[in-house]
Amino acid sequence: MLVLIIQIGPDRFALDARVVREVVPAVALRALPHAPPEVAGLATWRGEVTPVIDLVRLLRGQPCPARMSSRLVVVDYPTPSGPRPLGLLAEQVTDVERIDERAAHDPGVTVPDAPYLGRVLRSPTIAHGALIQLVEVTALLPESLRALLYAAVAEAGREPA
Amino acid sequence: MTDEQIALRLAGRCWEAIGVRGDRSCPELVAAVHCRNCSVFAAAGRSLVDRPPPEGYLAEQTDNVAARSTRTRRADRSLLLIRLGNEWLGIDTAAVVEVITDRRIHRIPHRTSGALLGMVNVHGQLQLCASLHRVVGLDEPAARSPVRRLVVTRRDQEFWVFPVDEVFNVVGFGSDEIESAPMTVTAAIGTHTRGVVAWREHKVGYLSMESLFASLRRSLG
Repeated sequence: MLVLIIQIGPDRFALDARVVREVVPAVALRALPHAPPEVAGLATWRGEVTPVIDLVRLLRGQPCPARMSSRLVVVDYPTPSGPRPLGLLAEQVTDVERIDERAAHDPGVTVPDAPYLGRVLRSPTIAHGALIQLVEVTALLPESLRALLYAAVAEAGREPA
Repeated sequence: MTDEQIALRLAGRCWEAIGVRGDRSCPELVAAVHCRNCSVFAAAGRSLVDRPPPEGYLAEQTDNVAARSTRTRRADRSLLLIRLGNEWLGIDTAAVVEVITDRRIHRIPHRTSGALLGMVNVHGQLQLCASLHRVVGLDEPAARSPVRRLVVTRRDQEFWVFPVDEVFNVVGFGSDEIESAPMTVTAAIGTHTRGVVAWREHKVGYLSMESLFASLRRSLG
């Protein structure tokens, strides 16, 4: 399976390339007041209002720094009304790698608050077998947050352009 | 190398000390040969983009990303573009075996009428060679093109070789980009094309190999 490698701090995470729509430079975001801290805001991606999650914030607790290398990974996020774009703010989105899915192991530790953290495997190429953890996009948002974000999108979409 | 080792070497700008721009004493050089193949150097390159964006960059990217992408072309057909005189034509790559250099075409006695030119030696096998110009109703060029090539085509077990005045490249097109041939296309081309596609400033006739091969088979009689 083909994965997009994202490095956050010293750790590497992988996103299934099948759900990735596009990787674009980080853009100016419209803030969502009172939203949880990992919600970076709303972006307009290819004419669609897209909620953006700060992946660095979510995984490391500090906001994604504004750098030339900061990227917005747009993924397909399944919602009851079909897949919707979801932006993931990250830096060090530099590699795409083909991995053997069978080599992925259960991490042995499940974090109840982070159901999106999936299986772990050793990279065949990067840094002599660094451990990579798969991030499950479908489990990325808790139910309450999902409802909130896509409600915010519907509202933003109603505003005159 | 671990991340810590990389960070340490990065800070010391090792490529200037022990790498190819230094005394070349780095043990990594044995396997890497040159610093550019080393993960430390790659990390150094990456650190160049790890700086704050210049003014206006964010706004510019925001506009770029917000803009609807210009129709993303889904190329599901690939055509080998060839030139006959002033006409550009496309052959479905599925029908192309190879493009070979111009070589002698051996005429077959008493078989000089129609499109058949003779036989050519393709890797030791004699294959029938026909004039695509004549089949599609174009004049053969008075002077032989300096970039003339022979295109070997195949449909099932049937092979045909065509001399063409130029071979450009393989270009991808989407099925929805194929338009019906305009009236200006000569009648003979029209019967052997499935439509035209726009390529640069040209209209490229998409050759129907089915009709082409059928016509050639008939001409063999």
